Amino acid sequence: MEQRVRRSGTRSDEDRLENLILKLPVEDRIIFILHDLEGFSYSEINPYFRDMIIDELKTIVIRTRNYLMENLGL
Amino acid sequence: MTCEEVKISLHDYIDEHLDLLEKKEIEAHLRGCDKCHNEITRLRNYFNTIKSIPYTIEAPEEIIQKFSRDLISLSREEPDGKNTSFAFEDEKIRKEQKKFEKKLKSERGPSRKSDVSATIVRNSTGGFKSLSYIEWKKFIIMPVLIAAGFAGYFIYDFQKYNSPWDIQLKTGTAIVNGRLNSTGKISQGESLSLDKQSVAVIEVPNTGNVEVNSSSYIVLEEAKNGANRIRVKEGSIRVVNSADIPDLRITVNSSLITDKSGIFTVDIDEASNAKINVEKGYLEIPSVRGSYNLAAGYMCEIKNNHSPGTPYRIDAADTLKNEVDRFDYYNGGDLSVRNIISIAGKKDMLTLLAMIPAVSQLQRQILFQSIANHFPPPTSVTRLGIMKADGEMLYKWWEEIVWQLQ
Repeated sequence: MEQRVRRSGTRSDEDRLENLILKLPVEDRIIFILHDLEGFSYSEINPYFRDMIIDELKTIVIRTRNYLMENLGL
Repeated sequence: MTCEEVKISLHDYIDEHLDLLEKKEIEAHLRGCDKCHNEITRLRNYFNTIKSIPYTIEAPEEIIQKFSRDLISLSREEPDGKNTSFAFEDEKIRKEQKKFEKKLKSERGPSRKSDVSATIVRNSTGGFKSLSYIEWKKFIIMPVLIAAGFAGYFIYDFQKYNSPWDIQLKTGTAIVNGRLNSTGKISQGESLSLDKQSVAVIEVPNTGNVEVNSSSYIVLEEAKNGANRIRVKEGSIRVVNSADIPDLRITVNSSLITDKSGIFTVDIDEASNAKINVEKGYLEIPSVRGSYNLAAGYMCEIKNNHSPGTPYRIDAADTLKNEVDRFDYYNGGDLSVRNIISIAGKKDMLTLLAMIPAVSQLQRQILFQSIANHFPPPTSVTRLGIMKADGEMLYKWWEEIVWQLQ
């Protein structure tokens, strides 16, 4: 289950980003959070997704970034 | 370096994965190219945005727990049972962590590790010096709580496994994991290989069945309620659902297709290019532009080493199919978009809708108008939302069109 942890800043911005992130497929969401938000490297994440090679993890992160940038109007 | 090459490497550049020479080449290009410079600025803005918003989302708790637990056990692993290696391993991990965080800070600002993972990393690498009473208390209680939580989760999770699955042979013989199968079962992690004379049907618990055609090779990647997954490596399969809420995902090349009920086929040719045809219901297809739904009567291609392409009607004109192929895989650009719009008939509007996230603002306006001519958007869908390729609005419009096409 996703958790709300702390809040500050503009609530609508947070909600918007949160909604976008929640729309991601579960696996993509976990990989994005671990890499781009938590700061873990691909090689650290890779052992937990044994059916994927690092390039596949990269593809997912890039796809997620493009999706978020597009939907955030960046 | 060309703009295309730079575009491909920009994410590696910002993640500090390039060597010095590649980095300099990119930087030289960025200095002289406004377009690519704008792209890197866009990426930097992206990191500023996600950095500026506090931790509103966490990965599912069980994943963080498992990840953190494994990090602890990895950091405390003592090769050959020698205690003396503990300090050395700690030091090594600390150095690796500092090195990685330094890289991240230089590009994205201070580390954002959440309270959960930061605490775990601190506990696992910080040694045992100068721990206060409260920290000692935490140190004793935390492993007990984590162990209890993990044990509970493990039992809960274990109950979900539904392996082995039944295989019914229609003709010929089934080879499971390289051996002639006599049990009529396939377990998680095992492969099923069929020759030219053989056809088999696999029963998927709580979902329906998968017909595996001749000359096919599949792997049962996960046999677990809520996460059943089959990888199709060669040949073709046909999935027939008999459940209201299907529970099956299919891995094709590196894409994960989610079954949303109905009947569909997956065909993989000799070059490992796949075609997905939906006869009934719909599928959720991942894409570089965000996932889209593949409706009944539509199909899409997933070429080897590529993301899934734009969906098109199974009965669409060959000219339309060829133009979609050019748009997806051969940089068809503006010309392809114009051609597709001019060829597409009323029944092809889901193709146009799926293209919206992938095209420029101008083209979105044209696509919006073209689709609206046949299917006016529902009241909750606005032009502005579609211009922004809002996922929810695209989905609502998709639902409306599918309903009207039925």
